[in-house]
Formats: sequence, C-alpha cells, structure tokens
Amino acid sequence: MKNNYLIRTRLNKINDQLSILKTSPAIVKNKWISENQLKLDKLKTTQSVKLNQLRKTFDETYFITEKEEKIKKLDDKVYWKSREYKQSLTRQLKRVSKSADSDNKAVIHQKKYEEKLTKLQDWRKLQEESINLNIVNVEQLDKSVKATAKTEYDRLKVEFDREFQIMETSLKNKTEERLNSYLKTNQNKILKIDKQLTKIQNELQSNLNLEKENNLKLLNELNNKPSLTENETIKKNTLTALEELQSNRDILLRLQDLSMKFGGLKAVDHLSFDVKKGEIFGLIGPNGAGKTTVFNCITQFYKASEGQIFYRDNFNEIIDLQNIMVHNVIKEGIVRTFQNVELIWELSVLDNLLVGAHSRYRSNFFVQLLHLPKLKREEEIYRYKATEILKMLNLLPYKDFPAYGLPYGILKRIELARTLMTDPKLIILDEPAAGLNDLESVELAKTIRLIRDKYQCTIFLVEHDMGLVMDICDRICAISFGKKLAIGTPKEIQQSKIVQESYLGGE
Amino acid sequence: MNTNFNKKHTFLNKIVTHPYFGFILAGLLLMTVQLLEYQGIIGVTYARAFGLTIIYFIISLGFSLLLGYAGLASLGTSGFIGLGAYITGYVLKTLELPLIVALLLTLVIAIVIGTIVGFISLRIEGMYLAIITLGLSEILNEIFKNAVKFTNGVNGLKLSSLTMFNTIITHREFYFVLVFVMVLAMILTINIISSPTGRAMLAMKNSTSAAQAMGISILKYRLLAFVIATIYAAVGGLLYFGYWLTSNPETWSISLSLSILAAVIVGGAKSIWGVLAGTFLMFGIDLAVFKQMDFFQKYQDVPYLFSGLLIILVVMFYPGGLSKLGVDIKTFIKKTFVKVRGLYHNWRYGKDDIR
Amino acid sequence: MVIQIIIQILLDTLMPAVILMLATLGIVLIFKTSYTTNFAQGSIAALAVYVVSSASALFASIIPGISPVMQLILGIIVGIIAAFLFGLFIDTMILRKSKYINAGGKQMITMGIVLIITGLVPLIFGTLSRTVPKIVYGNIDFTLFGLDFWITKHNLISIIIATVVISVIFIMLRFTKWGLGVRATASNELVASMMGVNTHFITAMSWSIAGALGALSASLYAPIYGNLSSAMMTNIQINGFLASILGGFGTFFGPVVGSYIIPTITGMVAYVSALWKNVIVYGLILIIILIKPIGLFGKKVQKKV
Repeated sequence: MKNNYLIRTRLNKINDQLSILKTSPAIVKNKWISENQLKLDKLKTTQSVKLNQLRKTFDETYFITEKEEKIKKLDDKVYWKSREYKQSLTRQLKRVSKSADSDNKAVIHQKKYEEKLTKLQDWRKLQEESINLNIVNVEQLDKSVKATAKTEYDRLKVEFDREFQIMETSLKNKTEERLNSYLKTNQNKILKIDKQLTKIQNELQSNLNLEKENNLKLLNELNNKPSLTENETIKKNTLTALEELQSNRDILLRLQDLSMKFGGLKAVDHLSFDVKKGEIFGLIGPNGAGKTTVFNCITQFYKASEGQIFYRDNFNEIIDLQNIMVHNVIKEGIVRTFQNVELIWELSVLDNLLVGAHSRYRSNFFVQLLHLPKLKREEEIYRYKATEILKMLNLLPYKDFPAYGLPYGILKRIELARTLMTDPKLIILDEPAAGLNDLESVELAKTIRLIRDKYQCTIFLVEHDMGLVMDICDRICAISFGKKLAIGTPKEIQQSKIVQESYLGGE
Repeated sequence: MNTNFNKKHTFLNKIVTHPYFGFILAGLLLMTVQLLEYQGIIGVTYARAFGLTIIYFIISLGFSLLLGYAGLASLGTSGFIGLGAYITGYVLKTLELPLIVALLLTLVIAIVIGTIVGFISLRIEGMYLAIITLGLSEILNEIFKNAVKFTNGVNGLKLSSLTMFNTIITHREFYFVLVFVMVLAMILTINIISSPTGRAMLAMKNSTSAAQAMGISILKYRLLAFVIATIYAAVGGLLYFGYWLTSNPETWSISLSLSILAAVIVGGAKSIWGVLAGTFLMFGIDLAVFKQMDFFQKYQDVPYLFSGLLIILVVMFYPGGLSKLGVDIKTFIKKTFVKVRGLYHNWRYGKDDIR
Repeated sequence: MVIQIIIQILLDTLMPAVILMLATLGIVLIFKTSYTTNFAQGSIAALAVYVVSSASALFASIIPGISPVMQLILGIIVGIIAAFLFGLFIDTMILRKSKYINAGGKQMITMGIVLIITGLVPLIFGTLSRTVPKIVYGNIDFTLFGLDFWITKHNLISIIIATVVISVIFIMLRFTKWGLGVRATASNELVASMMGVNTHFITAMSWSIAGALGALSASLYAPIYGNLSSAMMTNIQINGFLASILGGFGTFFGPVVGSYIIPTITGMVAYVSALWKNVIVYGLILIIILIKPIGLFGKKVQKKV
C-alpha cells in the first residue's frame, strides 16, 4: 500500500511538470510578441522624427497645423495673463477701498489695468503676424526645391515602410522559429515524460492488480465465514465498495458509513452517498445538520470517527482520503472554499491566487532563497495563469488591490478564482451564495456552470439558497442531524415528503 | 503605442529600481562610518555603537520574518544569540579553531534548536508560545551561568584577539564583515519574502485552515520560520563575539529579547527598511547618544523608558510602525504639494470668469 | 531521615509556593477577562515594593514612635493601593484607549510597560540599594512524630496571609456578583456584555486586583530576595506563566495547583542538584506541556473551520 502511495506522489509530480510544459509556450509566446512590439515601436518613432524634419521644408498643410497649434498656445498665454491682471486689479481695489480717497485711486488702477490689457492684445497681434510671416516665407520658397524635397520625402517614406515591414516579418519569423524549436524541445520532453508516466503507471497497475486479487481472495474468505466480528464487517464493506467502484467508472467520490462524533454529539451519522464525475452535486439540510462537518471530513480538517471516504484520484485509482494529510488533499485535485471567506488579507488579489498555486511550485527553498531563474520562470507561468482566471471571472480591475476591504461579493469570487489555480477535479464550495444579493447569485450560478464546463470538474456544494441549488444542481442530497433523508434530482427532492417535513417541521 | 519606453527600460533605471540597490547603498553608507572613524572624524564609541546596531539589525530581520510573516511570537531570541556567541567563543578560545568552524557549528546548532522550537510551536500556539520560548531562553541563560567549563560562568568569556587567515582582525576590520553580512541578510530576506515561501508564511499567519487547504504544510513552514530566525539570531551572536570578543550571561537577558521585539514593532514588522529604522531608533540612539551622557551613565536603565513608551504609543495609535509612517509621510507630502499649488493658483489668477 | 528531609523541603517550599500562587492568580484573572498574558505583572509588583519601602520610611518620619511592624504594615497597605490604582490605570487609560487592539497588541503593551517601569524606577526611587524588612524575625522549631522541623516566623505569617487572601479571592469568584461577571466575561466577552454584564468594570477590577495581588506577593517576597530591583519578580513571573500553562489557563484552579507544583519540585530537585535545579524543572515542565498542551486541568476545545 505504501509503495503505491510513493508511486502516486511521483506520478503527481510528473503530472505537474507536464502541465507546466503545456502552459509555458503560451506565456513565452506572449513575452516574445511584446518584446517584438517594443522593437517595432522604437523603429517607428525614430522614422517619424526623421520624416517630420523633412516635411517641414515643403508641406503647407504641416505648417497650417503648426500655425494652429502656435496660435492656440498664444491664446492660452493671453488668457492666463489677463486672468492674472484681473486678480491683481481686484486685490489692488480691495486694498484701496480702505483708504480715504479710494475713488481716485480706483480709477487709476482701472486705467492701468486696461492699459495692460491693450498691451497684451498688441503683443498677441505681433506674435501672430510673425507666425504668418514665417509661413509666407516657406510658401515663397523655390518650387523646384520643394519638389525635390517632396520626392525625397516620398522615397524615404516608402523605404521606411519597407524597412518596417521587413523588420516585422523577420521578427515574426524569428519568433515563430524560436517558438517552434521551443515547442519541439517541449514536445520531446513531454514524450520522455509520457514514457516515464506509462512505465510508472504500468508498475502501479500491476501492483493494483495484485492487490485486487488479494482483496478478492479476502472478500471470498469473509463471505464464506458464518459469523463476523465488528472489524471484519467493516473490512468486508470496504472491500465490496472497492470492488464496485473499480467497475463503476462514473463515481468520483463515495462516502461510506461516515460518522463524526464531537464528544457525545453525532454531527454526522452513518452517512453514505456517491458524487458522480462532472456533475454539480448539492448537499442541503437545516442549520446544524452537519453539512460543513462532511466537508471538513472530506478535506481531512477533521478525522472522521468511522467510515471511509473513497476518491478516484488523477490516475483512476481508488484511494481512501483518510490516509492523506490535510495539506496533501489539494494534490489529489480537491480544492475547497470556506463559509466565512478565508483569504490572505495582507496580500494582493493576484498574490492570493498565487498562494492557491502553492502546491504546484517545484522550486525548492534554496532556489527561492537565491531567486534563481527557475523560480522566476515558474512565477511568470502562474502569474499568467492567475491573470487569465481573473479575466474569466471579471476580477482583473482588482488585480493589485489588497484583499482587505474589498466588497463581500468580490471576495467570494476571489476565493472561487483561487480554487481554479490548480486545475482541480473536485471543487467543494461551502455556501458560495451566502451574503450575496439576488443579482450576484444569478451571476454565481452562471459562473459555476462555466467553471464546470471549462475545467471539466465536479462541483460539490452546500447552500441554503434553495433557488440556486434547485437551479444548478444535477443531484441533491438532503440530510438532517447527520442522517441522510433523501437523494435525487432537484424535482425528486422537492416532492419528497420526508424533506418537506424536516424543513417545515410538519407532523 | 508605448511612447515612453525610453524612460522605462534604460539600464540605469533598471539598476536603481532593483530591490538590491537600496540595500547595497545602505551598506556603502554604513561603511563610510568606519572610514570616518579611521580619519578620526567620528569617535570610536560611535563607530562601535553603529557596529552593534548592525548586529541587532541582522537579528531583528530574522525576528521580523518570524513575527511579521509567520505570525509567531517568540521571546527566546536573546538566548539564541547568546548560544551563537558562546559557541563561537568556545571554538575560538578553547578549541582554537578558525572562525569558519565556529560558523558551521553555529549553523548546525541553530538548525537543531530552530527545529525543536518549531516542533514546540506546532503544539502550542499564540501567547503560550511566547511564554514557552521565554522559558527556553531562561534555560539557556541558566546554562550560560552554570556551565562554567564552557562559558566561564558569570565572569564572562573573553578573547584577547581574533585571528583570521593568520592575521589579527581588529574590530575596525570586522566592521566591514558586519556590513557585508548585513547586506547579505537583507538580500536573502527580501528573496524569502517575495517568493512562495513568504506568501505561504503570510497565509499561515492569516488563516491556518486556508493555508492547509491550499497545500501549505503548517509543520514545514513553522519549522522553516523558526530555523531561519534562529540562524539569524545565532549568526548575530557569532558576529557579536567576533566584534566585542566577550560574552556575558547577563547580556542575554529577557530585556534584550524585549528590545528586539520593540525595535521590530516600532519599525513595522513587515518592512525591511522599517526594521532598519526601528533598530537604529531603539539601539542606535541608546548606544550612541544615551550611553555617552553622564545622566544615563548614572541611571543606566532609564533608556528603557523611551523604548517602552514608543512601543505603547505605536501599538496604541500607529500599528504600522515607522514603515507606515514613511508611507504616510510620502502621501502627505504629495497631497500637500497639490493643495499648496492649488492655493497659489487661486491667489495668483483668481476665479475663472473671463472665458 | 528521608521523610524528615522531604517534609522539611515541603515546609520550605510552601513560602515560594504561596508567593507564586498570588502572582499566578493575578495573571490568570487578567488572562480570563482581557485575553492577554500580562508580562507586566512582575514589574508592577516590583514597583509596588518600592512604594512599600518609601512609604514605610515616610510613616517612620511623620508618625513619631511608630513601631517597625506598624510601619511595614502601613507601607504594604499603601503599596497594595498603589498597585491597585496602577492596574486600574493600565486597563482604563491604556488598553481601553487603544484604537486598534488585539490580544497580541495587548501583550506588546504589557511588554512596553515592563520596559517603562524598568526605566522609571531609578528615576523615581534613585539608584541607592533598598531593602524591605521581614514582618517578624526568628524561627519556630517544633517536633512532629518525633522528628524535628523548623520554619521562619515571617514565612509562617506570609503563608497564613496568602492562604486567607487566595481563599477570599476564590470565594469572591464563586459567590459574588463580580465573580459571576468574571466567569461570564471569561467564557465570552461579547455575549456577557450583551447580557448586561459591565465587562469594562469587570476587566478594570481584574487588572486592579491582579496588581494588588502582585504587590502583596512581592512585599512578602522582598525580605527574602534582598536588595530591591525592578527585575526582582522576573523569575516569579516566568514561573507564574509556566504554572498557568502547566495547570491550564482554562480554570482558576489549575494554575494555582500548578504554582504549588513548580516550587515544590524545584525544592526537591535543588536537594539533588542546586546548580541545575531551574534547568531541570523548566525542562520537565516543557516536556509535560509538549505532551499535554492544554495543561493538567485544561479542557480541550475543538477548532472550528
């Protein structure tokens, strides 16, 4: 069994490598394209500077625009100057109004002010004239000179355009070549890893086959025994369940006789149900029915007192989640959100998503300590991925905001975004619509469906908002006081009498 | 499209905005202190005060990683510094081996002790952890006092001179080693902070359950945080012995731990520059100013009054510490600049009623 | 012979045990009502002892013909009142006035108070060495089961006073309105305040009473300690913390038992190895706490996710 676990961890590692290899070309391509754009922009600006210099010598239209600009500047200057004069006048008048012969002085100041204004107008006219004179000069230039300048300009323009195009195509080709070679090496690596993968998988398969045979033998033995002890019945149940799960490929998660006791209280009482692959499964029940406890048992925050939690892992083998540490559950493809949003308040939204990708980082502590290129590459990859996810969930504007202080609806969406960082197989949502208004709930339903379709994952949720649950869930399980009441499609649940009773408290 | 690419991508700009640039600049600035001392412009006591402050800064960096990022309060720092100092002293004096051996031994023992404390922190959390580490520090201090064979007891361990590569290194030359280690420590710290490890530690501080759900092993990162902090502290002890060539049990008392805590809190536990400002405020002023005044030579404990007041004021009214103060001052200056410009504009041009 | 030694050690360690109990009770009271570990407990007590010594000197000068015992008793009363007021001051003027406070912040503030008192003591009381006399000098020798034992009179009186005070505190916690308030606040401050418990008053009183308890324990301990210093209670403080954790912060009863266990074991170990007694005892406590982090009498609480 332990041997199998080791093989599985190795397999997970290889899988992560594969996903990195698959995502990295897109990032590299984006990076190279932006670099190319930078080079092209640089070329274009140097070209346009040269062209404009030449244009000055022959083009009237150029001068007309220049003239307009200059006159606008002049007007601006006159405007500010006159405002300044006016302000000084009002200040002078205020000062004067206190003295004895205020009227006289006021008149003097008024006159001075008007003089200044007329001077300003004169200055403006003079300037305009000089500008006009300049243009007339250019207009009077020799026509032949102008013509040569124009031809020169046209020639240069064509040449520059060609230069630009050549550069563009060459850069494009170069990037393509680089990308192709990159893809090729990547492909080689992927092939190599695939070979490894198949080899290890075969090893695992043979191991599992052996185990299966042993299990069958044991099961037969137990079946033939007349009376069983308590341990033996448990063993028998698990073996039969394993047998069934191996044949039934649809089931992703199975809870079998799960019980959780807190002191004397039984929060979950012999609960068993299946979650199928690719469905949206809802768990409902009155307050205190033990829904969150079920989640905590699945994600190993609590160790269940009894029962098993079978899960089909990345390689289609059945494992018991209870043999896995809390922080390794995410590596099996199970991610969860929390009832009260649990984000990292001191980090930005983007960094919060990067925390979500923590289990995917392959660089060890010393690489991180020295910030070696390996870490930088990985950071780039996950940053890219995070921005893509943020874009999908309309969160991009909040990218660099600290998580603390954002509205509740946004926080809930960020938590949802965080779960997607590891390409999960099973997303567990603990009351995703709690605290949202109706509009946001409708949006959430859309988002959940979108995630399910895009990532092809299974979604397992607890929710009090019956509208949402009935709307999006494929199947629903209703529980009360830790015991299963009913399981089925939303319609069946709505019509079930036992559920109605427990909700409405009927006799 | 991108019109100001010239500005953004120049070589010089790249260097200046690089996070290491500031650290190296700070190192060069601190080196000038010793150079000025060579010239006789600054007294020896001041240069030595700077040296000691640098050592405490290195230790505080490790502590800030522990407190500000991993969210673990420890009061055992002084014990761990003392451990580093005594190991160095024992290796240099009794075993008569070179400093590098002392460094290796210090690192090994720091890792062992850090791992032990990390394991303790898994079982005991929050305020209890501070108390337990306090007890641990007390045990270490008792050992320093009583293990006379290794530590020379209450009389203190003294070394006449430090030799490295067959040459005698005075405290003046050792100062440059201190600055070098300081810059190295700053660089390594920012690398840790801005890597997945730093984020994982913050995640652990904010919410252990979220961290676990995201695949962060609490065991690993608690141990790591304590090992790093202990290494910083023990290396600080090594540098202390190399610089002062003496170690007394009473130096490594609780008040040193509290002072380091104060420096980190006052400076702002999440910022390297804040911690630098905090240590220079707490230790630098104490060593360079208070210790030189007659009044404070008579009343040696009085400087603690200021540290205490600063801690209380910072915790009461300004939890961000000096680093937040820096940010606030920057925004304040920007705001007032805009305001003053607007006022001047109004004064010069008056209201807009011409157009 | 062995029995005689053991009983004698038990007698000797009774004095440090009751002093520790008084200090620990203060720490626990504050922990229960303010959810913080008060690092300043020892320092406040040390400050109070300085007040005791100067107050008794003052009484000697202003009341002619006063007996030394009366001086000391009046001084201790003044010291206890001073510590009571200082505790009140810390809670009402510092902790309640803080804008952004959490448990960690409160802890930092108490550490700041330690530093302030360390700096303040030489400024107010000078740097000359001071002592506090014992209440009564001399020993009592007695015979039990044919074996000879002895105990100092000061210790005996201290033990009696401390036992009475501790019993009074426990009776208050059990039977008075304040005690009910403390227990309500301890279980949930918010709910208690909503149920009409004046939690501000409760915590303020807890701080004051903790200060007074510290002052009493320090005054009884000072004659044994020798020259006063602001760090005189540090060891007792650390022992108090460890005792609280050892007994479990969950109850009032646990820490008091813990603070009986620690000095007793220290006394026993000291008979074997006086030099390493603290190291051995601290090590033992650390191991016990590692095995049982909730303490000997604590209750386990399930973490909610």
